[in-house]
Amino acid sequence: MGLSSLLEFTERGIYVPKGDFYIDPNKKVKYAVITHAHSDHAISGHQNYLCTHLSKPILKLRLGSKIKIQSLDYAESLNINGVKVSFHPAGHIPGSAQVRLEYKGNIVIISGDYKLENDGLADPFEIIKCHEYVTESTFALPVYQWQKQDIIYKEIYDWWQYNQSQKKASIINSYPLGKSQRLIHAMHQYSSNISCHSSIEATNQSYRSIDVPIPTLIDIMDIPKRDAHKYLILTPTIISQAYWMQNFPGFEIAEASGWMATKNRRHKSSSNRQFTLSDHADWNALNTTIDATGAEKVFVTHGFCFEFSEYLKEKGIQAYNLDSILKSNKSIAD
Amino acid sequence: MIRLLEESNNKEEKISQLAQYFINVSDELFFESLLLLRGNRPKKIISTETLLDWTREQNSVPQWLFERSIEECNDTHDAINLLLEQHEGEHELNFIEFKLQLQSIPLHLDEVKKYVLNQWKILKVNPDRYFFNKLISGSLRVHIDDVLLFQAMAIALKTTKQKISLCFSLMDPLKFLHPRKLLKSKIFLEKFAIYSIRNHKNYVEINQHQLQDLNFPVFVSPIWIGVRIQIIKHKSELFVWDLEKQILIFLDREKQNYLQSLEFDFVVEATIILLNKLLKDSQESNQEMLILEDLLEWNHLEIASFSERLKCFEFFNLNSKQDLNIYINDVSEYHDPNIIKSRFHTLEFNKHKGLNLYNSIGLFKIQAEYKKAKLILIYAQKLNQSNSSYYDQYTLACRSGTTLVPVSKVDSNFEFETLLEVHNFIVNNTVERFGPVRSVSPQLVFEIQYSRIEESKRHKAGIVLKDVSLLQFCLDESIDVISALSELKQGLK
Repeated sequence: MGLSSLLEFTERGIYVPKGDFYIDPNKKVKYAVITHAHSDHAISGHQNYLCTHLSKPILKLRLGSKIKIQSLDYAESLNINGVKVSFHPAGHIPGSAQVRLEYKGNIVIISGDYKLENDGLADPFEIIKCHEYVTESTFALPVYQWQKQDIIYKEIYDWWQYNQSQKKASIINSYPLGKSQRLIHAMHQYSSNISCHSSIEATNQSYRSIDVPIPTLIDIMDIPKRDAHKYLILTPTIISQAYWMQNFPGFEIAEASGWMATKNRRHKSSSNRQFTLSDHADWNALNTTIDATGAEKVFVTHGFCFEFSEYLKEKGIQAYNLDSILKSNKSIAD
Repeated sequence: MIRLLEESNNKEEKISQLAQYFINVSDELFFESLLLLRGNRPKKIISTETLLDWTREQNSVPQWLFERSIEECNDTHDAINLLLEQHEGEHELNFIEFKLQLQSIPLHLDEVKKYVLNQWKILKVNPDRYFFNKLISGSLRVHIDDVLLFQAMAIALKTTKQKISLCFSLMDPLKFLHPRKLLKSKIFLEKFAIYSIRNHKNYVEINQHQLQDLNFPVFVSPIWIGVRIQIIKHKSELFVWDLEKQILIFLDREKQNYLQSLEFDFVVEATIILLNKLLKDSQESNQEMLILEDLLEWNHLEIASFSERLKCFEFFNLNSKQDLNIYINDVSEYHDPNIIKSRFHTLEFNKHKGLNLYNSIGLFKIQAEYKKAKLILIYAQKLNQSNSSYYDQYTLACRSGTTLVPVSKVDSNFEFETLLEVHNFIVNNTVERFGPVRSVSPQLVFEIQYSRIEESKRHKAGIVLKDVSLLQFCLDESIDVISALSELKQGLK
C-alpha cells in the first residue's frame, strides 16, 4: 500500500487506480474528473470529462464544444469501476466542487480550490468527514488572513465613487472566471453601471444559461463617452491599448487578488489600486477545514505545500507535501 | 493622509488628496505631517524586535513559520500586522492623539505593552495598525517627492509651488542650527514653519521679522542667491568671504558700518539668499536675507564642538547679545586670542592687497588691477596638437640687456581672423622647428596684461607673470618698444 489507500500520485496528477481515472490531471488522460474549470485544473485533450452540471458549459466554452463530457449534480454519485464518486460544493467559483471518493468504506476528499466564505454566487463550501483529505494551500501562510468580503466590497465601491467624482472610469483587473462574476454580483447591489470585457461576458452568458444569477450588463461599446466615468468595468488583464479604451479618456485601474494582501506584492503591482479579495481559503479557513474533516491523512498541494504540511505534522496530523511527491515521481518517470 | 498615500500610486491623485488633506487639517497636525513627509522619523518608543515578541505571544504559530511569514512579506511591520488577528476595528489612527497618549503613559515596558495591545485591538487593521507599529517603533518613513509635496501645498494654500519651494529653501539652511533629532523642535515649528505663509501672503517679510526676533542679524544686501559665506570681524576690519568661490565679497557701506559697530569680534558662517531672484513675479525689492548658520568664533573664542555652537544659538534665541557675551565668557576652556589672527593668515589676505572691487550682476568680487606690458613673440606651438590647426600658444619674451628672456607663456584669446593673421605670421617667419614648437623671428610685438609678478626659479628671467592675457598685437612696432626685465622686476616690490 502506498501513501494513500485510494490514490496514486503520478506524473499526470492524482490517479485513482481502482477506478482507473484521474482527478484534475495535467496531461492528457482517458478519464478525467474535474473539480472546476480553471486552466490549472482543467486542460484540453482528455478523452472523457466528468464535472458538475454548473461547470459543464464553462468547460465547453473554454475547451471546445466537442469534448466528451458527463456531469453530475452536487451530492449525486456515480460508480466508476467500483469507486463511488460524488461532487460537493467547494465555494471557490460557481460549479466548483470537492471530489468525494468512497471505496470499501474508505472516504477520500480532493478539495480542489475552495473558500469558506459564502459569496452568494457559488454554492457554499460543504464540510465532509473523511479519512484522507487532499487540500490546496495557495495561501497557506499565517500572513494570509482575509478581511470580511463586505469590507472589501465597500472599499471597492468607495474607490469607484471617488473615481466618478474625478470624472474617471474605474477598471478592475480580475480573473475572468470566478472573481469577475463574484465582483459583478457584489457590486451590482450598489449600482447597475457595470460593464465587462467580452471575454468575461462570454463566461457570464454561459453561467446565465444554467441560471446562475449574473446580472445582465451593458455592452462595453455601448457606454456613452460622456458617462464613461460612471462605470465600473471588469477586464481580464490591463489592456491599455484596446480599442474600446478610446471611450474612456480618464480611468483608474485596480487589481483584486488575494496576493495583494502583502505590501510587497502591492508595490510590485502596476495598477493604481489593489484590493485583497480572494477565492481561496485563507490560513484560518484551511486549518478550520482540516480540523473539521477529521482526516487522518492530509495531502497538501498547490501553493505553500512544504510550509503547510510541516505545520500540520507539528499539530500531529499525518501530512504529506504532495507537490514534492509528484515532482519526485515525475523525475523517476523521466 | 498616510493612508491616502499608501493606497494609491497615482501621482495626480496623491497631489489632490494631499491638498485636500492640508486644507482640512488642523495647524498642529499640518506641521507634524510636514515633518513626516519631509522624512523625519518620530521618536522610537520600543524596538521592532519587542513588537515581534508581542506578536508571537498573540499568535500560536511556531517560530519557523513565523519567520517564513516575515520572509514572505519582505517587510517586518507588514508581517506583524498580517500575523495579528484580522478583526474589524474601526478606530482610525490619529497622529496627534497618538503623541498625546504616549506623553500620558509612563514609558515603562509593561505600560507600553498594555497600550500597544489595546491599540492592536481597536485600530483599523489596514493600514492604521500597520502605521501605528511603524510609528511606535520609530521606523515610519513616508517617501514623498518634494515636488509633489510643494504642488499639493500650493493647491491647498492657493499660492504657487515656487513660493512653497522658496519657503522650504529658507527653512532648510536652518537645519544647521539643530542636531537632527532637534529638527522637529519648537523653533522649527513655531518660528519658521509654513504657518507664516498659511496666514500671511507676504510671508517673506514675516520670516525676516521672525529672524530679527531671534536676534539673528538680518541684512539687506544686493548679493548672489544662496551664497555660502564666512563673515569675519577683527577689530575694525570686516571681511566677507565666499566659501565656494574663494573670493572676498563686499557688503555695502551701511551694512559694513552696522557690523563694524558691533563691539565684539567674530567669525560666523552664513548663507545669503536673494529672494527677489527666486520670486521673479514679485514686485517687491530688497527681499534679501542673511541666515547665520554656524558660529565659529566669538570674541576671540573658538567654540569648537557642535553642541557648544548649538548652545550659543539657543542663547541667541532667548536673550540679548550682552547675555551671549556672558555665556561665551563661561566657555573659557576654548580661549585662544590668536585664533582669528591665524584664520586671517589662512585666508592669505596679503595676496589681495592692492586689488580693486568691481560690480558684476550685483556680486561684488575681487578683481585684479591689471598692469600692461609689451612683449615679443619668440616661440609658438599648437595648444592641442591633434585638434588645433593653428598656432595658438605663444611664448613671449622681454628685453634683458641685448638678449631676449622668456617671461610668460600665453594662450591665444583672439578672434579667428586675428588668430589666422598671427598664425600666418608664424608660418612665414619660422626660424627653426623643435618638434611641435616653432622658433619665430622676434618681430611681432604683443601688448599684454597681467595681474601680478612672482619670483620663479624655473624661469631664466627669475620672474613669471601671472594671469596673463593678450590684448592686441602690434605689427608696426619694433623690438625696441618691448618692456625690459628690470622694469618688470620693479613690480615685485
